[in-house]
Amino acid sequence: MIELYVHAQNGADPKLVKASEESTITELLQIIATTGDLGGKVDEEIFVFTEDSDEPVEHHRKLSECEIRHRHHIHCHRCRKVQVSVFYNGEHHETFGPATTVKRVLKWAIKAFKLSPTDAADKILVLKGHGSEELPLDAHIGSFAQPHHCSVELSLTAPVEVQG
Amino acid sequence: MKPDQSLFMAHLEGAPFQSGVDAGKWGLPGAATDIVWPHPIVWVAADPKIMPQGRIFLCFTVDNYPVSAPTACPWDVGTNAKLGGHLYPRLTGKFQRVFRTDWNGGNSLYAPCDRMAMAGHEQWKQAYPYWWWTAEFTIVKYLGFVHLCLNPIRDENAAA
Repeated sequence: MIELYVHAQNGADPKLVKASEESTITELLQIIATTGDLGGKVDEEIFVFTEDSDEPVEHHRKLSECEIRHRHHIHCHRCRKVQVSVFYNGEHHETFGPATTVKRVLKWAIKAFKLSPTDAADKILVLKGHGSEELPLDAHIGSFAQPHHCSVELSLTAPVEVQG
Repeated sequence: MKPDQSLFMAHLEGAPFQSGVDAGKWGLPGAATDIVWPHPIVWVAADPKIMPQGRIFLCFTVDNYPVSAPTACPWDVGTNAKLGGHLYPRLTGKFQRVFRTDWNGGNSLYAPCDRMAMAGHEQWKQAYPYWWWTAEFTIVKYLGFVHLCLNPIRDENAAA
């Protein structure tokens, strides 16, 4: 048995799920469905991605065939792509796979807005209109996109200096 | 085992903490069973440009966790004592004051998720709502904040 970090559409934190390396993706989804994290039954409309991969794995494949190993991160989502809009002193858009880490999105945003190294150093991404929720760098962008709205709007921001 | 310790230990086994361990972001210097409650020691990875050793050890106080926020002190695991002030991380930018040696004797981090620093800084609740400790947080929130401070996104990484 191996343990996998499973990310889904319902929150930034992954869950640890046990499965056999010889399980198929479909069988893995059935295990995950018992936790209620899929938001419905297992069907072909649920895509499974390895971390930072833009292409989903095929449901009939075994985990070992997909090179999914112990403690790897996978993402289950009903969106094949997520449209990401980032607002700073303007707006930039890009499409990412749901399993794209927030860190990769942040790096893209830093380049898109042409930030200097100094300006880039302390930037974080927050949900636009919900400034109280910081997106952890290890989280997957798909975790912030609702299943029937394959998009997310973010603000690139710098916290004010920590001082008294 | 009291509820605060039981919950803390459960969070150490949870996916968010273990994910960070697997990613080399933080970890325990020994076994979880070695923790002297309520003072777990946890290391957090740091950019070698900030901490030449590549990590910092923090000695936490986490009684009444997670209702009460943790507090943490930079630690020397060799001497089992507070880290010398000259070895504290020297940060620049927005987080430059987090590892202060001129406040509270350097016994805690000047951070919005630190119990000692939160007292008297209620304005931080509005300024840092994502780091202002609440009972819904886990120790991973504190560790994530420290990791963010010690591992700034740099331009050379941006090209990756």
